[in-house]
Amino acid sequence: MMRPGIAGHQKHTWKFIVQETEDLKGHIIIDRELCKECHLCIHACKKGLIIPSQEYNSRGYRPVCFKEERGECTGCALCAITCPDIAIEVYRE
Amino acid sequence: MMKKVFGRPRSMKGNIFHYCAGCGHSIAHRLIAEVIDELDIRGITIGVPPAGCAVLAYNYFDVDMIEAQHGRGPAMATGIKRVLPDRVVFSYQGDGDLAAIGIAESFHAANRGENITVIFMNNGVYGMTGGQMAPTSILGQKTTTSPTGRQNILDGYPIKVCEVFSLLPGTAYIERCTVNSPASILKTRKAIRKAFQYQIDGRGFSLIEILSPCPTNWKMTPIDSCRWIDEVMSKQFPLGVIKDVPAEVSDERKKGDKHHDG
Repeated sequence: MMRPGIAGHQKHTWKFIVQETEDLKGHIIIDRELCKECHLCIHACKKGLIIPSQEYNSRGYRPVCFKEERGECTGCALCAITCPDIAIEVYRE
Repeated sequence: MMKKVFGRPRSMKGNIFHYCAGCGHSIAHRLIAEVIDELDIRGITIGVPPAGCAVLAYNYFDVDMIEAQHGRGPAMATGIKRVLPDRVVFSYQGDGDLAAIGIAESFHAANRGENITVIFMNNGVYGMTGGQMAPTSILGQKTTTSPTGRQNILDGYPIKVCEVFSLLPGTAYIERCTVNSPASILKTRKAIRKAFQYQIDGRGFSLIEILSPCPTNWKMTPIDSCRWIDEVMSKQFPLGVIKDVPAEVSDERKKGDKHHDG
């Protein structure tokens, strides 16, 4: 099922992964259209790598975003386990 | 090379959940779908969604679903299971559905010891209709129909469904869990898996009660409602295994064997 806005977003994130693969141990992809800004993942992430954002998605929510600069994400999947909307996909090496 | 370690379960369709932000229903849906994937029973599973918030559950599960009348999930599941005994049948119900209008059907299905699994979502309010008081609202809880808080003189006491059902000899496995933290979600998943496994093994009626956050009707943020389950709700509804007959039987058998050996 295709939703507007998702395909473009994922393409962007994939490019990011390809560039950074050597440094990262884990990585998450947040689907901007599925997120309902409940912020449970922000609470679940022990390293504080998920932050709230101010940009709206097509459904009127402001989805969280994944901000990682130093390769701290271990791919523990706690955020994805807590996410009620299955908006987070976790990748690990 | 990056490997995908977490994503949407295969038994789940791609639709966006209609539930509010931070709702426990969608977590429970995902856990059930994960268990169906894990046990590889997608082709033989039949679900019975309730009336209530989860009335559209058939939009999300990629298994056969038959919508039941309000509260009649276990009665319908009984029929399905008796006609098709080789299928895995689960009924998914909320507290208005199981503990209020459908208590008779659920109680008697449990008493008959039907070989089905019931997933019971307890959030203490009628979510879909706007947060009215439910039989499981705890004392002092403010809802739209108890604006000063539930009082035992006026409204009675909250029903502890698990404890009531555990007195019935027909029930095999009853556990109460919650979905307010990653650890408790994993525990809940284990409980659901065990319930489905018991059904496949033909052990009898299993009930998993899930204390679920309802941020919209509790008028809290999702994080506060998770905290409220820990601090207030789980004190009224203690978590844990309430009844596990198959495990008790196997324990006794082991003891008997030891005694025999000695």
